[in-house]
Amino acid sequence: MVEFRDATKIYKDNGTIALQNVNLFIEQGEFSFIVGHSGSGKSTLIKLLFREEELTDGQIFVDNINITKLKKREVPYLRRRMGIVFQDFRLLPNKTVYENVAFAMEVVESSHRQIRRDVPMVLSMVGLSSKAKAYPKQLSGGEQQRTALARAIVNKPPLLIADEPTGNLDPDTAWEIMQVLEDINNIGTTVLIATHAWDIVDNMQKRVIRFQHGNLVRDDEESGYSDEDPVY
Amino acid sequence: MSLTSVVIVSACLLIIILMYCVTMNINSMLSDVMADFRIAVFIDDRVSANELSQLRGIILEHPEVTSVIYLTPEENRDIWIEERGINPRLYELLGPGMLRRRLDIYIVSVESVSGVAAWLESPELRQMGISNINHASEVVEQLDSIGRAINSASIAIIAVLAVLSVVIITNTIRLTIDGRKNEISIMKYIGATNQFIRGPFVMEGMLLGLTGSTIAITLVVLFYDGLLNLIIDTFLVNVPRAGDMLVSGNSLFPVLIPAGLLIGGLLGTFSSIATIRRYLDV
Repeated sequence: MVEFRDATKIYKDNGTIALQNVNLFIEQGEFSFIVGHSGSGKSTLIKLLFREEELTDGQIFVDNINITKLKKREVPYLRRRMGIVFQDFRLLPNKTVYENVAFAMEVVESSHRQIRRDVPMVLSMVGLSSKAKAYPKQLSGGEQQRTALARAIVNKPPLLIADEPTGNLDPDTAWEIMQVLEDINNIGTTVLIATHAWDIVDNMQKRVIRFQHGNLVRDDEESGYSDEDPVY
Repeated sequence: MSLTSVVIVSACLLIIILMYCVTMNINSMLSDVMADFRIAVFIDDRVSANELSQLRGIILEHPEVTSVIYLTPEENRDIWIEERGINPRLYELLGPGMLRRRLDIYIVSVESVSGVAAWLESPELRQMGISNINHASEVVEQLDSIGRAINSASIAIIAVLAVLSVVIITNTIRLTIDGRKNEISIMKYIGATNQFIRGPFVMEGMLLGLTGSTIAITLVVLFYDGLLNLIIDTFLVNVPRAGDMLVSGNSLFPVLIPAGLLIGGLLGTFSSIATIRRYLDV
């Protein structure tokens, strides 16, 4: 599903090496955590996946497409093949929960019939059916993140990437969000999460990919955040 | 699209339209003066009708002369009374002796006036009975130069105003887009194409331009003829046929209205395309 081949990213403005010769393969349907300290390169890896940043060297494949070779005008079509969730939710404040989710479908030019059919279904999946008419400011942090998740999966992308999705949430709400993410993974969506939340990573017992100073230093199946494993 | 944006765009387009109206009127006045331009040749009383006919034929053969009209002394007098408002009693007092026969010579363009006048003053033609020539060529040539200068200046001023309008409209639209920067970046993250994002903003820019030009045009249509009359009554009281020389609303509006709407729409559209570009790179 996702493959990094000798991927290196150096930021031109300050010369920081964010990623160095990273080789990584994520299977279709996997649930993986990307962990590491601030500045370890995990957010850069996420940004590279949806082409907010471009590689300095190497290649990245998503769904067998070499995204490093995509032209700028092709990037929107790459982003339609993935759902993206951020720490700060990034919801449109002047739209209701229903409208925020429907907006993602309008952008890909889905029909009104499809929107009317799929949005309530997705809202029910994330447990927000009763909040469909509420505006983001009327929601709790957890509910806002559920809305963002609903928006991310409404177009049924094969890949869901999340950058610190629980960073703004209390532990209980964070755990609820992880349950929703697991449900999404159970229906076949590949889930890739960059996080600092060691307790969640420990409890989930999923694949853990650890970065340190831009290098991939650990990659374990069904592991915890702080398990001591061989360093690559 | 805020009220402030509409007011600013309307003001810019109103200035452009007014500049265009001023230019059109100055051009019309100058054209009127030029169109009426002729070289008046006064004929010696001793010249017989046959000799006059021969002289008229020679003048007509000149390549830069378009027509030659013969006026009897009485017709000559009537024109002076009618066109220049000279008191008829003056002619009666001076007696019939001052009235002469006259040939009005119309030429291809005002640039030819000096050449034709010099040719008419040549000794050969003088001997054929030309007693006096009246052409005021210097004044006419100066008017022609002034007309050209005004045209060039107007084009330059309108171009500068158009650029200023684009800058103002661009800034106005930028304020609108700035308020929706977050929305644009979210649209980009969920896979919206640039065309999809640009569409509503370009439409808004076009509507802003069209609304602004509609307001500016409406103001001009409502007040143009009144303003024209006020100018005639205040500043052009002593100018004969001033009303005919200026361009009436009825002649101006069939061009001004569609052109104004088109310019407003295009300015709004291009300004928003130029503004939105920088926000699409997410």
